[in-house]
Amino acid sequence: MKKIALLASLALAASLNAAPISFDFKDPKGVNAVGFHLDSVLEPISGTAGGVTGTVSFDPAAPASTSGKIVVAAASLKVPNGTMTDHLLSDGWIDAKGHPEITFELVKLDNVKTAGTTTTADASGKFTLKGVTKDVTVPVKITYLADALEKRTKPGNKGDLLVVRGEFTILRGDYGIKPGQNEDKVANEIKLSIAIVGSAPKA
Amino acid sequence: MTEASPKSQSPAPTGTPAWRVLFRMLGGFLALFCFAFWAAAGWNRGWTKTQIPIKQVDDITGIEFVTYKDHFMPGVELLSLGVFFSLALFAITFIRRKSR
Repeated sequence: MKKIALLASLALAASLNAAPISFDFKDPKGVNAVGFHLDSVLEPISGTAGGVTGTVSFDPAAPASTSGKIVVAAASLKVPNGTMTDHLLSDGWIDAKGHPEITFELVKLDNVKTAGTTTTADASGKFTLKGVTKDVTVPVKITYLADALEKRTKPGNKGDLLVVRGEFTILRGDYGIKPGQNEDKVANEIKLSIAIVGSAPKA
Repeated sequence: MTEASPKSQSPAPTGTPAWRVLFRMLGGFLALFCFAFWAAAGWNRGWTKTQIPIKQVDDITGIEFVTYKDHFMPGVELLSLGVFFSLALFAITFIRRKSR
């Protein structure tokens, strides 16, 4: 009888450990950002979008079952020139007021390979920009840092961290952002790079 | 032989008027000033920047992130504008009034 109880408790503990962890990507330290780079003919344009939120459910024992959604506030897009930033956010370009969110919703992970704490995969999902949604595939690197939250925040703040990195390219014309216009000043191809961290505090 | 009158001896005013010299000097000075200001402010061959990105690294996650610092860095369009005005200043000194 005792053996059965012991096995049952071990199985319960194992199932609890295997449960997916929900990571919140609203980083209190303000590190999270999506970078964008346009290799325009006249001058390359680089900037960042710091208003990252969203949640990702990650199971260290089954990374392929990862799901989640990352949201970027369109108004947080920024380039080193204030006037250029205003133009970028205006109706003609990103339309930050009309379409305040840029989102990536994960549908599935393919080619999942895990080595130690790091998982690499191809993340397929729905990317929405300026109200236009398209399927994209992003090669991602996911690093699970168990019990690392207190190192980043304050002692006693137990929890895990999940770092997600990835890069992909979109064409602004595909999302209705002045297709075919001003391509010498603002390239059609936009390279997006993601480096974000989510935290999952333990109660 | 009769001596020439003092009136006929004085040369005709053929020198460059003072305002033309002044404008040419101003034009040259403006071009030099614009170039020196642009070069001293960072030799920025792109558009004007009002903020500069500063890269930092988060120790725990290794994430490289960018913060912005207010800093004015004139770009090539401001340099071009300054040089254009200096050339315009220089050019108007060559405008001649039509002689009747």
